[in-house]
Amino acid sequence: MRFLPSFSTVAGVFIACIAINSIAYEVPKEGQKDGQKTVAHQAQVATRSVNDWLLRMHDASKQRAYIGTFVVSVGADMSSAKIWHVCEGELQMERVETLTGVPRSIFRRNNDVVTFFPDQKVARTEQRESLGLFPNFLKSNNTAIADYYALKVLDAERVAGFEADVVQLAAKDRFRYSYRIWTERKSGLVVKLQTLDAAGRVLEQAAFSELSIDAPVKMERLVQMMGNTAGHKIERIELSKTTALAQGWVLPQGVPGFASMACYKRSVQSASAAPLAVNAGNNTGANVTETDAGNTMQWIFSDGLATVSLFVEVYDRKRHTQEGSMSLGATHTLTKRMNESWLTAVGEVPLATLKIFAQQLERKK
Amino acid sequence: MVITDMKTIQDAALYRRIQLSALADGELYGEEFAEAMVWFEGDSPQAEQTRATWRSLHVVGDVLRSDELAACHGDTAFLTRLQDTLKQEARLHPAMLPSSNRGVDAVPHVQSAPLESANEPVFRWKWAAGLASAAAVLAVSWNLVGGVTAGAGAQLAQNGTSSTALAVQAADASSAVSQVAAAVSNDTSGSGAAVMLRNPQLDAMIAAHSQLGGGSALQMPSGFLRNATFDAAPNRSVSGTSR
Repeated sequence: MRFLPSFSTVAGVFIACIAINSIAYEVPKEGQKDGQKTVAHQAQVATRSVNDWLLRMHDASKQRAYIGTFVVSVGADMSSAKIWHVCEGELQMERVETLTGVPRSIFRRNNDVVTFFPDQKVARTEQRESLGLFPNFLKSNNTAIADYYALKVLDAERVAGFEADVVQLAAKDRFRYSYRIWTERKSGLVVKLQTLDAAGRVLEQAAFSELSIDAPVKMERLVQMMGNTAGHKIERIELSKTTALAQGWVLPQGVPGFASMACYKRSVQSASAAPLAVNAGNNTGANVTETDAGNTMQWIFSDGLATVSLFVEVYDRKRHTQEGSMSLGATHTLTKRMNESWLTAVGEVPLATLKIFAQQLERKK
Repeated sequence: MVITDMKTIQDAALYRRIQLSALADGELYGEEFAEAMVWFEGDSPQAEQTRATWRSLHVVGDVLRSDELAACHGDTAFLTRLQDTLKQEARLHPAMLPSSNRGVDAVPHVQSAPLESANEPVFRWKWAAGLASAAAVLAVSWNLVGGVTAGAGAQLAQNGTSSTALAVQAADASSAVSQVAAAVSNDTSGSGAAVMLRNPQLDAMIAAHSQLGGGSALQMPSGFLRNATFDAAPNRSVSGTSR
């Protein structure tokens, strides 16, 4: 027992040191801030609602051209890519050159996305209709993001050389994760993003390690590169819209905050008969093309920030061998056999949330 | 010379503790059993010590087996003391951790280290129990996930709970835990997945989810950039799929 007093003394001294340090650091920081401008900015920051913040982030990408290096850290993995972004009126273009993993160039022209895999000479084209859903989703009056996430403005920080406002969108219940978002002070551009669990642990994060805003990016050049598919096998990802009910599925009660966003039947069609070795950034093309993926239903739910996909396909004894769950950063997956169907739930939500989805999903016919 | 004597005495004390623990587990036979029996006889300090150790081993065993006795409700002070004591031990006996594992009563002729608390063996036990339960939890989750190492898991769990174990066994359990942990982390490092469930079908679903994760307010633009940058299965992307 004799160590106790000495321990508490040490602890006391330690805490005192921390306190002194933080005071020492706080004082000059306060002193640096230049008067009215900062005060006005702070007032502005304080009055923004959740939706104000999100719209601001969204609008920033519609108004600014930039070049940067984007780093994504998921679990033990770290990926990075060089980003070019440019906009003209309603038109937005983006070029992403991955610096890690399999070489890929991804071009986006509003909702059209082309992914080039130079090693395989494959170009995958797809339409991401859902990319356009978002602003309307936010502007609609029944948006419930603020019902499920609490906004908290944190101290400003510097990211990629820019002063950034930091906000936290803390989950109000256990069905979702929390987010911490850094936005460049002037433009509102998202420069860093963290996903946190209930204990405040960072599950994954993405950030610009370097960024130049209002950089000279030529749209014609990107258009030209995006259209340059000559010499590539074209792989087209086709989606046909449907409804869950039409597919014979219902989710009677749902999960608080999560609304049905869309439902698709998926297919992957290859221009050539041979199965492709690449798909969706992963080596999954062969599988999907072989196994009649057109019959896979993808039912998408979102609470405004997080999304959950329920994939339902016909149960195949050979392929569907392992029920269970997996986690990858903030993304969880859950597989479950439902009589003659096989469910795969995927989402940036806690596993428990996927379990509720899985429990509730019901065959209607 | 004094140091050498101390070491010999400590070694002898350690040997006795190990043997007594084995005895308590019913694992001592023949000559070793007879030798241990002799330690209990007489009024010598060693005999006192032996009996005290014997009692403490049973107390510890009872505590481990009984939830009521082992109840320990979020006592942060206790945890702090435990951590502190463990640190102290590591500092005092870097080479032979178990030597501090003396009986409840201090041995009169051995100058025990001044900072050790009286109920230290219990601490050691908590520690062993903690490792064992960690092993059990790992084993259980491992089973849930893979169902492959069920045997090893059960073995681990048994090691932890049934024996009136020694520091030696605790060390075994700890190395087993680290092996399991290493196995898990090996699995993780390979594919970025947490468990062995990862497969191309699942990757396809994750990719498909990423493509259409458009309901998310953060999808534009950060989500898109995130998904474009992050390749969920970097090692699988080039080679042909086989299953």
